[in-house]
Amino acid sequence: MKKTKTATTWRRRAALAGYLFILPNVLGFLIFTSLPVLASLLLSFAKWDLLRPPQWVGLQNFQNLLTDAHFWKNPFFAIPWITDCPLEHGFLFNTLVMMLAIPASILLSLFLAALLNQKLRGMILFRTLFFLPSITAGIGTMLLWMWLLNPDYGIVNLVFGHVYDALAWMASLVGWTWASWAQVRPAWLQDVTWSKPAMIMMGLWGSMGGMNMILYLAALSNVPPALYEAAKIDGAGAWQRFWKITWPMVSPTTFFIFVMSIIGGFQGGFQQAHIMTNGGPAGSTTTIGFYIYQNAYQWFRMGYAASVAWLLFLIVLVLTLINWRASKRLVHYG
Amino acid sequence: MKVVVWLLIAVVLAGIAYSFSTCRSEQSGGRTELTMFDWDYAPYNKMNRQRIAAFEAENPDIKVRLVTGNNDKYLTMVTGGVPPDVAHNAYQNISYYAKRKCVLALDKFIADDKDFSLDAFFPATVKGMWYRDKIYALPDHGSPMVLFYNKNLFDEYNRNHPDQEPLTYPGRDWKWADFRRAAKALTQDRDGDGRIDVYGTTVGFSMNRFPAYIWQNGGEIISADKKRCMMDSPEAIEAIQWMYDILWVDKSAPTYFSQIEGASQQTHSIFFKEQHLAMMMTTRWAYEDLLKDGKLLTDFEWDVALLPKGSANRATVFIGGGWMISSKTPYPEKAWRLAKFLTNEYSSELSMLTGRGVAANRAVVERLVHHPGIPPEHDYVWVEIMADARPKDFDFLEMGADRQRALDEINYLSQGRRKPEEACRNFTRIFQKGLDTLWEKEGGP
Amino acid sequence: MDEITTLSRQRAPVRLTTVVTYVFLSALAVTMVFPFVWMVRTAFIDPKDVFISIDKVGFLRWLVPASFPQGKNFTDAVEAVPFGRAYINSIIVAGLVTFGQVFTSSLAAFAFARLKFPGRDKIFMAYLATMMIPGSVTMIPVFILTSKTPLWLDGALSWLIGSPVVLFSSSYYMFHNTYMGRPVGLDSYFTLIAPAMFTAYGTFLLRQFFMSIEKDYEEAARIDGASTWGIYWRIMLPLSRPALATLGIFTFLGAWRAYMWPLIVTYHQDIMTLPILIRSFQTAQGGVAATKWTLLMAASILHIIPVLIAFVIGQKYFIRGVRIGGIKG
Repeated sequence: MKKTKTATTWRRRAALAGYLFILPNVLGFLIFTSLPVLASLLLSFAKWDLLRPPQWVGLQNFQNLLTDAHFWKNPFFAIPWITDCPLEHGFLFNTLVMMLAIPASILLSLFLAALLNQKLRGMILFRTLFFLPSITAGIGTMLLWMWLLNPDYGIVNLVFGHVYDALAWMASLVGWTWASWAQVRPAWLQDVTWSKPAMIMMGLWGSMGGMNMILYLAALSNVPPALYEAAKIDGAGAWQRFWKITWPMVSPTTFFIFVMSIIGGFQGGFQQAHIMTNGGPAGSTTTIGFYIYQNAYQWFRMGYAASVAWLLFLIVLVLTLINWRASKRLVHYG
Repeated sequence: MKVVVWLLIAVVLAGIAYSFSTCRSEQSGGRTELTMFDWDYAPYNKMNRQRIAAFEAENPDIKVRLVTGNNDKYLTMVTGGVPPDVAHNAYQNISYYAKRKCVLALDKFIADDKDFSLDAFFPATVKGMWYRDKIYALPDHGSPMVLFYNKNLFDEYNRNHPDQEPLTYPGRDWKWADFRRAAKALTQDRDGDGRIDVYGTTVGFSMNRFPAYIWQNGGEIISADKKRCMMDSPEAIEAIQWMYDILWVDKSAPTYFSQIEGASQQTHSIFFKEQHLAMMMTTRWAYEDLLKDGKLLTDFEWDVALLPKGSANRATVFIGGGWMISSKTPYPEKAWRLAKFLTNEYSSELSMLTGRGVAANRAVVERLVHHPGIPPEHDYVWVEIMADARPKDFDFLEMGADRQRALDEINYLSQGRRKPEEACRNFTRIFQKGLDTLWEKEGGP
Repeated sequence: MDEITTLSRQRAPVRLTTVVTYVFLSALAVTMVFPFVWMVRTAFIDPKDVFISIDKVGFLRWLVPASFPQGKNFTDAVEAVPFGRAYINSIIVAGLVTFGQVFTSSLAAFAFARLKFPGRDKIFMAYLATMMIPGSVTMIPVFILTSKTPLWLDGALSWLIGSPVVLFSSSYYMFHNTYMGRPVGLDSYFTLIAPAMFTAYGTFLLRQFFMSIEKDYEEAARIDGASTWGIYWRIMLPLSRPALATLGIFTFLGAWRAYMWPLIVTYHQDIMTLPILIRSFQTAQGGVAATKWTLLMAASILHIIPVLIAFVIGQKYFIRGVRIGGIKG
C-alpha cells in the first residue's frame, strides 16, 4: 500500500517536473509561434489581399489549390481535371526533384565526418574549411555560382567541355561522331531542363560539409572507441564495422537530419529562386516555398498562400509521422 | 572569492542603475514627425539623408525619419497599420495601393499649390502615376532603355572588312535592318573554338524589354480599353519573330539573357564592359559599371544612341517610380510638402548624380546631359528618348500566376522551345484569361 | 596507450589510405574555399577589377588583380553605414538568442527525452509540426501582433492606473543620447530576440542527443539521491557538451545572419543588425542599381569573422566533451 503511494507521488512529481522543464520553451512557443500558426490556418479559409479586411470564403482556396495545375502537374500521371498547363512541371514536382539530393547529401556528410573524425593531423583545419560555405553562404556565393555556370564563359562548362571533347575523341575512334560541345553545352540556370540539376549541384556542394557534417562529427565522437576495438578483435572489416557499429550508433542523428531535411526540403529553394532565377526559367526552379512567397507578397493572395502552406503542412506531417513510426524500429538509442 | 563575486554583482548593478539614470524617452521637440520610405541601398540612403537635411532646414516644423527596405517591408508596414507617410514605389505598384485607398489622390494638392506644376516633369513619367482618372504619386525618376555600343568593335570590323559596306555608328537614322546587320556582323568567334567570344547584342524577353519591340512595330500588348490582349496581332508576331531571328537565325545574341532583371542586369553591363557584347539595350543604371566622374571605366570607347526605329516608331519601355502619400497620414499637407521637395530640382539633381536613372524633373536632366567634350558624347539621347517612353500600362501584378505564365511563353523562345507565332498565341490565351479574371473581380478596368 | 599500439601495428596499410584521404580532402577543400577566397580577393581590389575576364588576363591575374591589395573598400564600407553600432546590436541579439535557445531547448529536450509525463509525445509532435508551416505565411501575423503590443500594454496600464501612459510605446535613449528603441514592439531588442529564442529545432536536436546518452549515469545519480534538476544540471549538460556546442554554433550562425525578420521590425538605423546594413550595398529593389561588390564583400568579411573565430574555438567542444565523459565507462 505504502509502496504504491510513493510510486504515485513519485510519478506525479516526475510529471510536474516534466511540465516545469518544458514550461519556458512552451510559453515562448505559444506566444510567438502557435498564435501566428493559428492565424495562418484561419487565413487559409479566407481571401485576403493584405490591405482590405479578410473575407471568409470557406474551402474555396483549397478547392482552387486542388485544381491548380501549376502545383500538381508532373510527368508521371495525368490528373483528369487538369487539362491546360503551360508549365513543363508543377511546383510540387520541382520541389520533390530538388529533394532527391537529400539522401546523397546525408551520406556524403556522414562520409566526410567519418574521414574527418580520424586521428590525423590537420583535421581541425579541414573541418573549418568544409564549413566555410555554410558561413559564407549568401548573395556572394550565389553570384559566383552564376558566373561559374555561365554557358559560354563559366568554369563548369569549361571543365565539362574538356571531358566531353575527350569522350567525343574516343567515340570518333570507333567511328561514332558526336555533336560539338558548343552545340550541346547545357545553359544551366537558363534552361528548363538543366536548371534543377544546377540547383541540386549547388545545394550538395553547400550542404555536404555544413551543419549535417558537424552533427555527425558530434555523434561520432559519442561512439565509445572500445566498441571498435572489440569488433577488430572479432575480425570485423572496416565495412562491417561501419554498418554494425557506426551506423546504428549515429542513427538518432541520422533520424534528426532526415526529419529536418524533409521539413526543410519541402520549404526549401526560396533563397536561390529569389536571388538567382526568380523561379524561372518558365517556373522550373519555383519550389512550393517560393510559390507561397510569390502568392503572399508579389501577387497579394495571402489566403491562397496560407492554404498552400497548410497543404504542405499536411504532406510533411504525414511523412514525419511515418518517419516517426519507422524510427522506433530503425533508430537505436543508447 | 565570495567577496569578489558580490563585488562584481554590485558593479554590474551599479552599471545598470547608472545607465537607467541616463535614460530618457524620445521627445519630438514640438516638431511633427513624418516617416519616409525608400528602397534600401547605401548610395540612396546617403542621398536621402542629404535631402532630408535640406528639407528640415527649409521646414523647421517637420522632422523626417527615413525608413528603408524592400517591397516586402513596405507591404508589411501598410498591412500592419503603420504605413510610412511618404513612400517611394515602382509605378506599376501604385495602382494596387490606389485601388485599395491606401494612398491619397494628389489632384487637389496639385490644383491648390501655386508653385507646383506637373509640366516640370517628362510627360512619360507623369503618365505612369495615374490610376483611373486621378494621379496618386509624384514622379521621381525613370529610365527608358537606349542603345549602348562599343565604338572600338565597330571600327575593328570596318578595318578588317574593307570589302564590305562599312558599319556606321548607331544614330537617329538607324532602322531595325541596320541594327540587325550590325549585330550579325559584330558577332565573332575569334579563336574558332566554336564558342562565341563577342556577341553582337542581346535580346531581352522580360516585361521591361520585349514590349518595346512590339510597340516599335505598331503592335500593342493590350487594347486601349485594357480588356483584350493583342499579342496575337500580326504586328506583335512579326516583332517577336524579328527578335527570334536575331537569336536563332543570326545567332548574334546569347540565348541565356532572356531575363534582364536583378543580378543578371548587372551581368549584362559587365559583359559589355569585358567586350563580350558589342551593343546592348539597357537603361541608365548601367552607367554605374561603365562610367565614373565623366571618365569611361572601360578599355574601349562607348557611346549611347537612340533605339533603332521599327516600322512604326522607336518606342521604349518606361521603368521608374514615384512618391506616394499614405491615406492614413495625420499630416497630409506636410507630407505633400515633403513629396514635392523630393521631386524638386535640388532633389532631382542629387538623384541623377547618385545614379538613380533619369530624373523625372525635365530641367535638371536637360542641364546634366549636355556636357560637350565629356563622354559619353550623346548623353542627351536620354532626353530625346523620353518622348518615346511608354509606361507598362498592361502590367498588373495582381494577375499573379497568369501574368507569370504568359511571360514564360515568351521566355520559352530563348530556349528554342516555342516558335514565335505559337508563343504569341499562348501568351494571348493565358494573358486574356488573367485579364478576364481580374476585371471580373474588380468590376472593370 | 592502446591507441598508439594499434596505429603502429597497422602502419604499413594505413599509409596509402591516409595519402588518399589527404588528397581527396584537399581537392574538396579547394572547391569549398573558393567562394571565400573570391570574397577576400574582391574585398581588397578596385571595383573596376571585380569582373575582369579570366580569358583575357589569365587565372592568376584574375585571382589577384593588379589593384590587390587595397584597404579602401573596408574604410568606405564602414563609413557608409553605422557599422559599429550594428556590430554591437548583432552581438547582443545573437548572443542572447543563442543563450536563450540553448538553455530553454535543453530544459525542454531533457524533459522530452528523459522524464515521463502525460501527453509528452503529443506535445512534442505539436512542437515539430509548427516547423512545417513556412515562415512566409506566419510573418505578417507575428508582425501585426508585434506592432500592436506596446499599444495594448499601454492601454492595459492606463486602465489600471486611470491615467494615460506611454511607457511602452515611446522610444528611449540611454547614456543621454544612445538610441535604445522601445521596450517591446517594433524597433525593440525584445522583438529581435524573443521570437528567435524558442524553436522546436533546438529542442529536437538536443532531445536526440539526450536520448542516446546511456541511462546508467542517471540511474546511479538517482540512487545517490540526486534531484531531477541535479541530473539535468550535473549529468546531462556536461555529458552533452558537443551537442550544446553544436546547437550553440548553429543558433548563433542563424541569428547572426537573420535578415527577413530583423529587416521588417527595425526602422531606426541604430537598432539594425549587421545583415540589414550589409544588404544595402546590394542592388535596390527591382534590381535597378549596381551592387557594390567590393563594399559588399568587405562588409561581409567583417561580418563573418566573429563566426569563423567562434567556429574555430567551438571546434574542440564538438569532439572532446563526451570523450571525457565516456572514457570512464
